[in-house]
Amino acid sequence: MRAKPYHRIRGDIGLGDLAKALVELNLSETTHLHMAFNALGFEGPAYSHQGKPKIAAESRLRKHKRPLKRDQKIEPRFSLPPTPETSIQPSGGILESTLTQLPLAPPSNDQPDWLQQPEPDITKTNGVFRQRLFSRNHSNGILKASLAVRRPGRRLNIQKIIAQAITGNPITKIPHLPVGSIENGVDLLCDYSESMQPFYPDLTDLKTSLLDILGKGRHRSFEYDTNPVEAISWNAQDKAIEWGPISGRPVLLATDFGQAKGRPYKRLQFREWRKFVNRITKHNTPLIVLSPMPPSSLPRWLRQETKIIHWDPRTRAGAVSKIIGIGHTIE
Amino acid sequence: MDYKPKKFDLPQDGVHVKGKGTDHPPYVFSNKIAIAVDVALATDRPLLVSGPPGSGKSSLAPVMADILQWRYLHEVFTSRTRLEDLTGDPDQLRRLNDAQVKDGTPLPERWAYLEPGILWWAFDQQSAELRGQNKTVIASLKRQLGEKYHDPSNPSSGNEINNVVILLDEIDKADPDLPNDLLEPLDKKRFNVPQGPEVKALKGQNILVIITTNEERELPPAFLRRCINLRLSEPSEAQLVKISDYHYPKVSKILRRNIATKIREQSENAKELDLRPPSTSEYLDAIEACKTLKIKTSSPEWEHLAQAAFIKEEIDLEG
Repeated sequence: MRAKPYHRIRGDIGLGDLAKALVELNLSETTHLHMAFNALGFEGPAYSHQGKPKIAAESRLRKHKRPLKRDQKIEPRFSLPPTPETSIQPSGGILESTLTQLPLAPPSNDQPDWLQQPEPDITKTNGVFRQRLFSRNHSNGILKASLAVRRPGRRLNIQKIIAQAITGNPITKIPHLPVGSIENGVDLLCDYSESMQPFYPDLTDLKTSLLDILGKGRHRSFEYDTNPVEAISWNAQDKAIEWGPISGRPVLLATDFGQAKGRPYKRLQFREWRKFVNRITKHNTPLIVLSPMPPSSLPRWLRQETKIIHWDPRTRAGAVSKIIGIGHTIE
Repeated sequence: MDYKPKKFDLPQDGVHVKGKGTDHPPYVFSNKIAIAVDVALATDRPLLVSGPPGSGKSSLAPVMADILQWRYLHEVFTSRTRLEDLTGDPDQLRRLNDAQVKDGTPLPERWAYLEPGILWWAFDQQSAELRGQNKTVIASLKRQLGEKYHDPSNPSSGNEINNVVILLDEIDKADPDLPNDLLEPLDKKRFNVPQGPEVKALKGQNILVIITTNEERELPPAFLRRCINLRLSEPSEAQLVKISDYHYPKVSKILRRNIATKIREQSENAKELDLRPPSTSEYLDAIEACKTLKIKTSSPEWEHLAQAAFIKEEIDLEG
């Protein structure tokens, strides 16, 4: 292996890497080329070294687009009249023209051809834009701050060391400053009651975000209607599994507690809430609530002893850290 | 396999049998694997290997070290792995203990307590041995401390002194921020050790970094964009039989083929039940068991084995 030049700063894999691979490996077989392209994160072209290169049919380069043949039909996305075959070349000057009123065409039952074409498939159109409750840029930071659990970090707690050293006794265990860690994972309990309907897509986004951050092994999702004690999930065999707290694993409740305005939605009762909180406390499980309603609008008995994070696009990780601190303390 | 690698040598059948002094099992290369490794070597980019358990992700690195005759270093990630574990970190507890010993031995300076991580060993082995100091300083300290001088232990195995294969195993288990923390040392081939020296890879050094993931967690896009991707699939029946040709050449090929068929059936069954499918290890274990217990395809025990399927739920046992 020949010696390489001294290393310099490089960025993402790009055309330079592709060029290096093509030259140094001298790949000729199409399948091998495809594999090399895929390894680098590119779509491979379908071309051969023999004769003229054949451009891939799916090439996005404009000059590679072949003109349509006469008998090829255009399948429009929407029903539109066909484009005329001849194009009018501008003369370069201002043309004099007059509008002449033509006589009305006689009524006819014949419909033009373009009206006969099938209606567009609306399922393939883009959905209406929806603002997420937590933006993609901030969601991971907010969730990590919400779920962090305190544990000793790498940095030494100098003050504690000095305090111990002053006593004159040997230090048997070095104290470290705490850090927040998400290694305990999370149990996500999603409220799918009627008042939460506008936020169903956000519940899905939340599950996806947690899966991305924590992975399958450290994340469980459950669903309930109004009362979180009754949260369940389903396994691969469609069997219902009741939620039960795991000691030390934070519980994230995504709910509005039925407090949405406008209709008399079914609301969580005080007794049911206390039962849930007692169960959580008994298992030494931190509880965090994500509420699309502003915390100040929630009843006092819901806010007591509960860390509530406003599920809102303006919420940031810094604000969550002020509520949670470095992380939840597990005793 | 019809691809002949340009950056390393492989037998025509694509199977690398272990070299002297190594402990890894035979490794069956496919075109995809060989090309991905070639691309990683040609572009000097880390190779990110993903795939189901038992597909050969972690075995690839020691095999490549054996083929290339380079040094080999590896680190298995946990949720507590930090960048400092890979670069270098002072052993504070040992320093504190030494500070409390009142036998007149002078307390060495802070640098003497640095424990080099595998990236330090990989980039500059000599600097790691000397903890970033020069030989004169180390010799003086050794004279001063005598037996109490603590030599950092070199975790490398293998041959060629500078070129190295590094395995960073199960990166998806690490803290979500760690992959991005790794970008700079892997990209620039240099880093600063906390309270220590700057470490740079030697000029002309060849480094192959292989990173594995079980895909349990998403990795940051910035990290993915700087890695060569190789996704391994479960070995096919034919590949399983080929692997067993090297492990158990004397065991009946019909039996090995039948076990391979059974393993593939169990794999499909496991996927339906959302369970972990059996891997190459289970396949080889089954052959070993049949060999030791003298079970053949004509044996009555084979009939029972052939009918075994994963149990759906414990409750099903109770009917």
